[in-house]
Parts: sequence; C-alpha cells; structure tokens
Amino acid sequence: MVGYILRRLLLLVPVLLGLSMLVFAIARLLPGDPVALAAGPNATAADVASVAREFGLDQPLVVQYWNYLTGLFRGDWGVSIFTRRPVAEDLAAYLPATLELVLAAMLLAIGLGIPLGLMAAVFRNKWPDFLARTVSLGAISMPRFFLGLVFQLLFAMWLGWLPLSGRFPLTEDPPPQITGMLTVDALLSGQFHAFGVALSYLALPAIAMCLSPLATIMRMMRASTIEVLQQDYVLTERALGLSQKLILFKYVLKNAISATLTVIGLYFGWLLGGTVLVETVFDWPGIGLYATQAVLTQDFMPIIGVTLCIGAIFVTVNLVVDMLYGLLNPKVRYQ
Amino acid sequence: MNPPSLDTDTLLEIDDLNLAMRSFEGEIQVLNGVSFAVKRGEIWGIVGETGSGKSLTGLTVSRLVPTPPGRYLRGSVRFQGQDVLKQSEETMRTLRGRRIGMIFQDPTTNLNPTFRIGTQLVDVALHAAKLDPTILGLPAGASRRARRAAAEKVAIARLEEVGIPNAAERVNDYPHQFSGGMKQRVLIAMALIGRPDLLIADEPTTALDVSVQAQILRLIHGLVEEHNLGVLFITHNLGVVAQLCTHVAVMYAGAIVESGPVRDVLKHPRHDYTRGLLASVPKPSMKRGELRGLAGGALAAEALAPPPPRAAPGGTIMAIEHVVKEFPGARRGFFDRAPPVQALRDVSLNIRQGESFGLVGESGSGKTTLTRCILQLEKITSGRIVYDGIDLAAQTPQQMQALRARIQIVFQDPYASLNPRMTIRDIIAEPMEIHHGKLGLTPRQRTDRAAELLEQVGLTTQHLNRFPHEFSGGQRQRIGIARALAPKPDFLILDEPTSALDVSVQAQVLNLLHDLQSRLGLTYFFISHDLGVIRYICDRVALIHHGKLVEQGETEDVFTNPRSDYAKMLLAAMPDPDPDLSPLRRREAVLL
Amino acid sequence: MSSTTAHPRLESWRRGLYRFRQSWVSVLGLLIVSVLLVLAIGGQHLAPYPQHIAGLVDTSARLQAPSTTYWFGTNELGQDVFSLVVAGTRISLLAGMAVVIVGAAFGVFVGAIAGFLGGWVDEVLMRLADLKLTVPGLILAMAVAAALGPGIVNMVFAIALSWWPGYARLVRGEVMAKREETFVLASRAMGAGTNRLLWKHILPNIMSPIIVKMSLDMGFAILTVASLGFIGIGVKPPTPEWGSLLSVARVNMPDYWWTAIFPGLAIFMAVFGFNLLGDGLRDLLDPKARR
Repeated sequence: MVGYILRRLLLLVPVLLGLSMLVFAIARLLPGDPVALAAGPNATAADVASVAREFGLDQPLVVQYWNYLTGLFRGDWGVSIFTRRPVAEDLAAYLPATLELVLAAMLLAIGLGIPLGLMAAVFRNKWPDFLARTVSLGAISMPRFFLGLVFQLLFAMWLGWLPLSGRFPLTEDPPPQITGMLTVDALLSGQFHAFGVALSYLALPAIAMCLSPLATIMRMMRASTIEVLQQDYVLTERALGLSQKLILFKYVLKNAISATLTVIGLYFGWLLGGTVLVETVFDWPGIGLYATQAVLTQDFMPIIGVTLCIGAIFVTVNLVVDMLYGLLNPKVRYQ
Repeated sequence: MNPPSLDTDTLLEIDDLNLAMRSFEGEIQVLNGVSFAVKRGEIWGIVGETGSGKSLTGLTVSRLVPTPPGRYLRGSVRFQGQDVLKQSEETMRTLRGRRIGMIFQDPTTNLNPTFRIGTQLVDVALHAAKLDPTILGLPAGASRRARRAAAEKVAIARLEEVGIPNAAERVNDYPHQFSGGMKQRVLIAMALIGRPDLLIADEPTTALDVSVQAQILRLIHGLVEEHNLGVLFITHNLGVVAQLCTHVAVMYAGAIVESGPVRDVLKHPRHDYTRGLLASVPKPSMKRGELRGLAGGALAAEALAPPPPRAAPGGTIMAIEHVVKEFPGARRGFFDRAPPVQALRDVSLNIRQGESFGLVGESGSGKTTLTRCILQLEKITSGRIVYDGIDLAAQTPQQMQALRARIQIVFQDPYASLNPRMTIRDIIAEPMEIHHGKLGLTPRQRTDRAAELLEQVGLTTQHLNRFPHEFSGGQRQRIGIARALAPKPDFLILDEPTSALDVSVQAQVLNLLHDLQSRLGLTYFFISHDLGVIRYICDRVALIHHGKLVEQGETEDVFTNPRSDYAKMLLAAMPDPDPDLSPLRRREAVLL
Repeated sequence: MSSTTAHPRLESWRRGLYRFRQSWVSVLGLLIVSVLLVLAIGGQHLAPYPQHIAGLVDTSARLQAPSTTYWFGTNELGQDVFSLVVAGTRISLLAGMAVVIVGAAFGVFVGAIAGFLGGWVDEVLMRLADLKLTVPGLILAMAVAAALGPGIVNMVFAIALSWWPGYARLVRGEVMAKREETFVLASRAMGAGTNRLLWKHILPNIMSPIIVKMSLDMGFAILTVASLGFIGIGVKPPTPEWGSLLSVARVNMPDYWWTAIFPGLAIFMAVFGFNLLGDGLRDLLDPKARR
C-alpha cells in the first residue's frame, strides 16, 4: 500500500508538468493580444513593446515557459498584467473562500446523497423512488446560476431571511485567520457568533451549488446499490438468514459506496470549475470570480495560475479517492 | 406422490407445488405440481435441464423466490411439519441459516468480496446462535464480546472441518485469496455453521474442475453422514447424482416426471424423458454415432441416413513441435516485473489427416492458449507449429491470411461467439467475404452457400434473415459450425463446443459433428474437460496439465490403461451415470 | 428464452417502446424536446413580436409585468420577453447540438483508435484525455472563448474542446471490452482486418451507450452555452440567448423578476427535457444499465 501511494505521488509530477505545459500553450497560442490590451487603447507601439519587455513577453515561448516553470518552484506564479499584483498572493487570498464553498457543498451532497440513494434503491420502483429520480433529474438540470438568482429573490429579497451576497459583513469583526475558511476559523477560535454570521452567508451559495452533485451522487448510489442487491452473495446472505438491516447497512453499503466514490472524485473537480458561476451570482470573493475577471481582460497569468491550482487540487482529490477505493476493495489493496 | 406421513424423520414434504412467474408475455406456470419428501440422511438429487424449474424448487423451500413476479398457485412446502408458504418473513429468517443451509453454484460470486471470510462466517453464526445459543456453547446471557469470540472459534472449527488448512489464520483473508474449490468449502462451512437439518445445494460443483468436484462431493457426502442431514442436491449432471445421491427426482418443464431411489431410477428408468436423458450421456460402451438426443421431452428418432463410414486417418497434417508460450509477468513497481508465466511448456503433438484428436485439461491448463497459438492470434515463444508442411509462424501476413481459410474454429459459448447485430446470413457469409480470393463467390452465391450450410447443420433457409438472439443455445452452436465450414476448411478446432449446452442438446451437436466429419473428411482438434465426450468422439487424446502434456495416445489405451498419475486421478474423479461405476460408491464398495 | 415468433425484431422494438411509454417521465421528456424543436425551427413565425427579436426597442412599454399582451412581460428596452425566449431556443439548441456532435465525433475517433490499437498509442491519447479532464471544462471554455472573441462558432469550438475526453474514455473502454468478445475473436481467427473488426463488429455494438450519452449531454451542452452567456462570454446581445438574457436581467431584480425568471426557466426546461429523454433512451437502448 505504501509503495502504491508513493508510485501514485510520483506519477503526479508528470501530470502536473503536462498540465502546466498544456495550459500555458492554450493561453499563449490562441489569438488575442493581452499586451496591447494592458497597455491601453491609446498606447503607441513603443508603449506596447515596453509592457511586453516588462513581463518578459518578448522572449521566445519556450524561454517564457521555462521562466514560468522555474518561478513556480520559487513561489513566483507570475504577475497579473492588469492589476500588477503577484498571482500567488491573489490565489492565497481567494482560494480559501472557494475551498470553503466547495467543501460545504460537497459535504451536503455526500451527506444527503448517499442515504437518499440507498433509500431509493430499497424502495425501487415504488413512489419514493420515482419521486427521488424525477426530482434528482430536475436538480441536475437546474442551472446553478439561475438557482442562485431564485434563492436570492426568495430568501434574501422577498423573505429577507439570509444575506443577499458577499462573504462576511464589513460591520462585523471577522474571526482570526487560521485556515482562511471563515466558518472553520470561527469554530477553531470559538467565536460562535461569527460562525453564525459566516454560515448565513455561506448557506445560499453552498445549497445552490450542492444540488446537482447531490442528485448525481444519489442516482449513482441508487444504481450501484441496486446492482449490488442483485449479486449472488446477497442471495447467499439472505438464504443464511442474515437480517435485512445487517445485509443492507453492512454488506451492501460497503460495496455500493466504492462505485459511488469515483463519481465523488470527478465531481469535486467539476465543482471547482463550476464555482465561477455561483461566485458571480453571490459575489463570493473566490478564485472563480478572480478567473472570470482575468478571462474578461485576457490576463493570462492569473488564468494559468487558477487552472493549475484547480488541476492540482483535482488530481490530489482523486488520489485520495483512489486510496479510499483501495481501502474498501481488498482486491485492489493487495495487488 | 408420497402420501403425507407423520414420520418424525421427514424433514421436508413438498406437496403439489404450483408456481407461476409474471413477465412481459404474461403469467407462465413454472412449477406444475411438484411433490416429494426428504428424510434425514437422504440425499435427494433434483436433476433436469435448463428451465426445468429445479433451481426454483430449491429456492421455494427457503421461500426465496421473489413474489411478485412469482405467485404460488397451489400446494404446500412443509418443513418439519410447518408450511413455509404460510409463514411470516420473520419466521422464515429463523429457519434460514439455522434449520436450512444453502449453497449455490458459483463460489466466486457467492462470497462478499469486500469482507473477510471470518466476518461473514461470524455473522451467520451469531444469527443462528440467537435462536440456539448452544451453537456457540455459551449460556444465554453471555456478553456481546464473549459471543463474538465464541462465534469466531466456531467459524475456525467449521473451516477446519471442511478442509481449509490453517483456518485460524485464514479467517482473516478475503475471498479473492482463495481458489474456487476452497471458496466453495468456505461457503459450505457457512451453510453448516448454524447446524442445519436440511442442506440445499444448487449446482455446487458445476463451476469447478472435475478433480475439485470430486473433492467437494466427497466432503458433502462425509458431512451428511456425520451430521445426519437431509440434502436437496440440484444438478444437471447425472453422473454427480449417481455418485452422491440416495434418491433422485427428474424434472422436465416444471414437473417431476419420475422419482425414487437412485438405483431404481437410473438403472431402470420408466419415463421416456429419463430414458432419453440417460441415452444422451456418452458412455464408454458407445460407438460413435450411437448417441441419441432428445426432442420435445422424448427420445429422438434415429438418424434416417447414417453417414458413410469415415476414411482411415492419413499422414500428419498438424505438427506441434516443442511449443513454449510465455506471458510477461505482472508489473511490480516501475521497472520491475514478476517472472514470466509459462502457459505452455514444451508441448509436442501430431494430428493426422481426418482423425479426431482430443485435448483434455482443466481450467488454466493452457488448452485455450494452445488454440490461440495455432490460430496465430498469439505468438509462440519458441518451437514450431507446422500445418501441412508449412511453418505457420514463418508466414507473411498475406500467406497466413490464405491459410486461415483452411483452419477454422468453433467456440465454447454459443451466446458470445455470434455478433448480435448481424443476421445469420451475414454471419455465415463473413468468412466467404474475407476469403473472397480463395472462393470467388458473388454476394448472391454467398447467400446460396449460406443457405446450403444452414441445411447441412440442421437448420432451414427461413433462418437466414434472423438475428442470433432468436435462437436457442444449441441452434446457435449449429450456426457457429456452419460459419466455420463456410470457407471450406479441412482442419477444425472445436474449443469445448458442447460445454455450455444441456446434455440432450450436446448429444445432437456431437452427432452432427460426427456426421459432418464423415461426409466432409474434416480433421478435428477437439478440446474439452469432459472425459466422457472425448472418449466418445476422439480417436486419439492428449492430457494437458499446467501447460505440460502429461500423456497422449490412442483414446481407448489412455482410458483403460492410464500411465500418468494425473490421468489416473482424472479418470477416478469422473462421475459416471451408472451408480455402480461412480468413484464414491466404488470407494464404498472397497470399504465394504 | 428466445422467442421464434413471426417478427421477433419488431417484437423487441415494441417491447422497448412499451417500456418507454411505461415511464411517463420519458414521454414528458420527448414532449418537451419536440416543443423545443418546433420553436427552434419556426420560432420567428411563432413569436408574437418578431420585430423585438430583430432588436426593435419600444420605450413606451418598458418593464411591464406579465399580462395577456406580454405573456412574460417586457424588459428594460420594452421588448417582449416571451418573443426573446422563443427566439433563444434556436441558438441554444443549435449550439448544444453542434457541441455534442463535434465533441462526440472527435471523442469516438480518438477512443476507438486508443482502445483498438492499445499500447503506446493508447497511453499517449488517454494521458492527453486525462489531462484535459483535470482542467475544469468551464474555465477552459471561458479562456478559449475569450481569446477567440465572441461568436457562436468560437463558443462551440471552445466548449467542444473540453467535451471530447468523456467520449474518448467511454468508447475506449467499450472497444477494449468488445475487442475481447468471442465474436470479435472469431472474426479475427477468420482473418478479418482492422477495418472490418472495427466497423462491422465493434462499433455497431457500442452505438447504444454513445447515443445515450449524446442525448444526456445535449442538456449539459445547452447548460454550458447558457453559462458562458451568463458570464458574458460567448453570444452577445442583441442576439437573444437565454444565458445572456438572464445576465442582463439580474439588475432588474427583485422588482422586475420576470425578466430573469423566464429565460432561466427556459434553460431549465430545455436541459430537463433532454435529460428525461436521455434517461428514457438509456432504459430503451441499454437494458444492462437499467437503473
């Protein structure tokens, strides 16, 4: 098992290298001239050239990539042409907000999706199942940005129960910075009032974001549970008198979850990418909003930074998922 | 059939059981008045072919047939006096695992792959102990932990009893760490851990090799005698019944056509179906062409025109010389690999023109690898495969292409070997299209030839535009044979062509193969694990074990006078439908 | 087991159709998709105010609530929201379809080659697909679309770029599984070449999962198109596109909610319709995956 983890960690290196190369190539090879854009509409050719020199954009692409790559290891993720701020600093500031949002959504999705899926499988082809399937398909079909708007309209504007947008009010004292995730920091430092405030801001975007993965996890869990229920060993367990409860919650659950796990890994990456939309709706100061700004201004250093960052998180999460999969499946573990 | 009795030894009494199943086509009655009774110490063999209702009968005893789609129309299933069809699910659970133990066909899928076998055994033991605390040997009020510890001890004891070496350590292993035979032993231990009175075994040895099957049968036999169990042994194999069972019930189309003590039924069958079934099993005394199949539940008429006598075998057509095939070992880490696996070790044999050459081996022996090497689907590591004087490995792809028309193959699984999206016409015409150069037929002529071939294998031209899923297993195998014959081959590899078929259908296909060989002068390379079939159809035979040929010679010589230990063991393990000839009983006879 | 009645093939179709009709949600999906198709084809003629679609501004009728004259109300330019939503159908459907077809075609090609040839070709192609999967599709599409500039073709290209790996992986897995099937082996033993094996034996047998995935993906492609429109990349106003309509209408909330709600509902209905249909199709074409 240790050897397996080491090998997987080693394999991360070429993946991340390839990812950086790919993103760099896409950002730089496509048409569009960020230099001219940054220099301003009235810039002369000389102005443009000086901006290009300032950011090293006059050098051959290979050299640019090499400089970027070596910079990454020194913690230098390049500088935004537009704001002239270091990308690494921006990422450090925005990433915790996004992670908080994504983790909250994922927790909700897993925590509700797995039991609901199990239930739908047990009630297969009866009304709770039909209801769950149709509603879940609806949830998958609901655009997150639209759902966010409807939530805002309902719960913030009309009912006034929850704040409209943002992450934390300026009028209140934020909890001390530990992880950068406000709810977690508030809990860690025991500031329960601040936790309540942070949670009220987190609630709407997290719910808007979790519905689609929740529905997918539920459907996946339902499908794999049904498949497991049809396995021969379940018949044997029944034939030897084990109770329905023991079979379902011990013997079936472990087998069914392992199939669902892979979906959870994939969905994590999907959520990270999709946070763009929800962050736009709720003005959530995360890397999604940051990336949108960068894209609209064709500011490619932040784009590369965000993509690399998300890619790295995605591969790491999937590594963790694979290990959990190995823990659940003795056959994989012993290979 | 048996009048209801108050005999205390009677464990199970099934009386006029009728079961219907609902499906898209409507409700179909799948059990038609099944009646029989099992006493302690009796082993009842329920024998029948696919769809005869034998498995459903077994499931009904534990009431595991789901309702719906199932529906009980009439009858009763009395287990020690109480009708299980009238019990609540809760009461049924007190019977399952405690009073009634069950084992099923495929040991690899019947153990939960993600749990240690110890965990699974302990849970069954704890369930049974709830109803009968003496199983764990503990007083009723024992603590949870004490019960668990005791259950584990019982599990280990049971595993030892069914012949798992090192049981105390192996309880911590996962199912995939056991071989097929060992898994079935674990499942038997699990079924017996609650000390049941009745054991239901549904084809427990069908997925196993003959030698392993013999061990499992011996194990069940011993356990029954020791614990005075009643057993319901469901199987399609008459040989197994003859070997193990005290009584037998023959099922056909959801009804028992004949039942009674095993010697009476198998030695003096009264019903046509039983007689037909017995006549379709190849026996040592039979000459080729004497086998008779079944049609519509009765003995089929004899072939109208017997084929012409076969020509005497000619010279060597296929020479396999010192063939070695290695597969690279499993990857270990980045650069490291396990040592290569030798699938074939120095295999040499000669096949003569016009003969049937048999190759016998158990799973993993290398017999399938050898066929793939002959077909050049795998490259051999060393040695030569010479066909009609041509070294196959030395041919260019174009030359090999032309040779492929002469060497054809029929596969084991008739359901998987035909493309489900192609019509029968297209399937049979495909080799003619590929070998257009040799045969030179127009599309029209190909259709005509496909029709001709279909008739040759006993189907009709009407079948040309149908799709494979519309045919039964036996019909599909005929289509597979027609396809193999299409490019006019002279060498036919038959890779377990009848193993997936019911015995009556097997008889028909064997007869067809015999007929075709006589008429077309084909050479057969017949691969099988079934010694009876090999003895019936092959002139010469070779035995392969762990990639090595252990014995070869004239079939009769090898069967009557085996020299290698492996051949002796295989022959001893082969169940024979004659109760007096079966190994277990032979051993009994010796002991007496 | 297998019936040999008069027209068994027809029979199996009827059986599938019966199952499809059994689940009323699939029929609902088919209904929604049919309505969408009608609107996409004849939208210009069916919309009550075709002049608003062309960009006509009517300041006298600004931000009117839904009524019998303006079913979905009017927007800040006095345009009929219903007409704009109807007109948006064509763009969404067209773009969605283009994305799925381009992505599927490329993905099937790559997956078939990788799965059939195996070895290093497979390694290279699949590592490339994996790499693509680690980049979030939406961000990649955003970057590419922004760099290429606005326009429907650029947007389709940008989305399709992140769409093919899903098909490549699906097809590769299916091809590898089918390659080992006995009927393919049988054909190889007969001497069939790569072309015949791939086109006659393997691909026809893996069409069902591809079609099912395409119909399910239609919904998500429409969703992605709308997302890009919402962010402000992709189709730009005055071309009526659901996502950008919604984006523009955000500032009208909460008083003039209808300007946002109806385009949003349109996106939801379109995606929902295709998902229901895809789910039904899966039951129909892929009985193994019946869930």
